[in-house]
Order: sequence, then structure tokens, then C-alpha cells
Amino acid sequence: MTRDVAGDGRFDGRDDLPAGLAGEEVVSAYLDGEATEAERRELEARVAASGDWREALARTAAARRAVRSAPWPEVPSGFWAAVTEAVEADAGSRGRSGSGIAGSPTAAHVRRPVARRAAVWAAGAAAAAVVAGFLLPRPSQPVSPSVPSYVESHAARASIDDPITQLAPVGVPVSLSP
Amino acid sequence: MTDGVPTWEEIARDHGRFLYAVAYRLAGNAEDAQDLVQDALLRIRRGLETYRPGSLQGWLARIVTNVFLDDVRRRRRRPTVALPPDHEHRLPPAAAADAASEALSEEVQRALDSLPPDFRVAVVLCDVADLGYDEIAGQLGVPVGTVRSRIHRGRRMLREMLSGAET
Repeated sequence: MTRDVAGDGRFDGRDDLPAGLAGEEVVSAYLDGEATEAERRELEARVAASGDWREALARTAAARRAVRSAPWPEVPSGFWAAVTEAVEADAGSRGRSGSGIAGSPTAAHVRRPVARRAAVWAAGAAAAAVVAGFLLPRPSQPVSPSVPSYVESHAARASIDDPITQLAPVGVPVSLSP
Repeated sequence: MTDGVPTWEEIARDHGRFLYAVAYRLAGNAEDAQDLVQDALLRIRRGLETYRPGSLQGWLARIVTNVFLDDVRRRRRRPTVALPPDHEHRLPPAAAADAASEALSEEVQRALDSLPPDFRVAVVLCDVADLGYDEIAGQLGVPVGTVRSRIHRGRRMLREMLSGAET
């Protein structure tokens, strides 16, 4: 593990992991466009000369891409109606000028019910959908976007501006496998 | 919108998915994410007078992150026994959710959940909220070097988790 010498979440920059490389933090800075020009040049030289550095770059890029390309979670149906109701209730209880800080008794009062209200909204929507299913003809059109086009668009979006593609001549295949 | 300052309804409408995505990646589950978003929107509504036109998503990400970190601190101070799951409050999954992308999302979410909160916040602000290191450092009140360290070490933990999940 990395040394947390002060026990405060800050680290001394050294690393005990067999796969760790001294100064490896520059890899993430490089991928994020946050490395200095000198750091960028030095890293590219190391990547060109060392398989360990190529692997560190490729695996870090894969982890970064995994988070960036993961689809955003769906907002549950009914949530926005419920949260609007809660926020308006809070506003109404304070007057239109609205002051104070979150965590106040009023905020605590409106916390949590949102999930229940959203569930009620969702249940209502589901009931309406069931009724509509009986009364209306079934839709014949496929769901859009299709899975293949969705996956393809995500892959394309993930690769745009990815600095690792610029290292293709010296790169290694990106994989999450060890 | 007046003088470049949006109303909270406009924020909820135009940036709601962004807020929910950041909240979900931080909290790790739908119910806590909903609470985070609700608390964040309460703060946003009350704090709009202090907002100065600039990086709106940066400001929103800071608020939702502060709500999350406040919650983490509160839980540390007052550890509680987990309540049994309340199925009445569970929401049905979105009807149109794509199974493959949902599985990928869940795998990434499990890996994110395994990170210590400070590391998770740094990674989420960088890779979900798409903020720069300077902005993250300003929001968290830590040096840029600390942000750089947390992001990279967080990613290294993630890649180990994801490698394990893949094999």
C-alpha cells in the first residue's frame, strides 16, 4: 500500500506496491491534460523506453475511461416531481426571500420523504401505463437508440481527446486484465 | 434567468441529470443519491443570491460534494446501525434502461464505492463532473498536488478492482 505517513490522507509520494512506479502520479495528470510541458516530455520518453511505464499508462487510461464512459444512472421516474414539491415546501415555510442553511430543522423535515413521494408518483405512472396498455394499441416501433448504436456512440465519445491515442506507436493494448 | 443567474427550476431542469449523476457516483445508491440531490437543491435555491455567473456545473458539483462530505462526517460522528431495507421506498428501475450499459455502470459504481471518500470525491469531480485540478483543489480546500495524488491513487485502486471484476 501507499504510505500515509501522517495518517491524514496525505502521502509521501513513495510507493510499496510491486507494480508501483516512483512518480507515477504524473500519468493521471498527463491523461487529464494537467501535466507540465516538462512532465509531459519526460513521461513520453519513459513510456517509449519502458514496458512498465507503458503498462502503467495503459491501465490508468483504461480505469479513467471506464469511469468517464460509464452511462449516467437513470433518474427514477417521479423523482423530480417529488423533489420540486419538497423544495417548494421548504421555500414556502421560509417565505420567498429564503434564508438559512441546509441542515436546519426545516431541511431535516423535508429530507427522506422524497423517495416515498417519488415511489407514489412512480406507482401512479405505472398504473396509468397499465391502463394505457389495455386501452391503446401496442407500439410497434423498436426502442431507440438500439444497443449497438448506443455502445458505438459511447465508445466513440470515450476516445475523443484521449491523449493515449496519441501514443499509439508506443502504446500497448488497453485492457483491464492484469 | 436574470443577469445570467438561473432559477433553481432551470437548474433542476437543465442540470438535474448532471447533479444526479455526480450524487449517485458519490453516494453509491439511488436512495442516498436522491437525498443528496434534494439537499443540494435546497442549498442551491437558498444560495442562488450568492452565485456569480461562471462555472455553473463547478458550483453545482461543489454543493453536491459538500452535502456528501457533510453526510460522511455526520455518519462518522454518529455511527448508526443500518436499518432493514424498506421496500416501500424502493423505486422501480427505469423502463428503458439498457441492461448492458447498466451492468457496466454498476461495475464501475462498485469499484467507486470501494474507494475512501476523499479519493472517490477527487475521481468523481474529475471524471464525472469533468472539473480541472485547480477547480477541484479550490473546492476541497487542498493543494493541487493532493488532488493529483488522490486522483491517481484512486484510479489505481479502481483499475485493481475492475481487473478483479473482469477476471
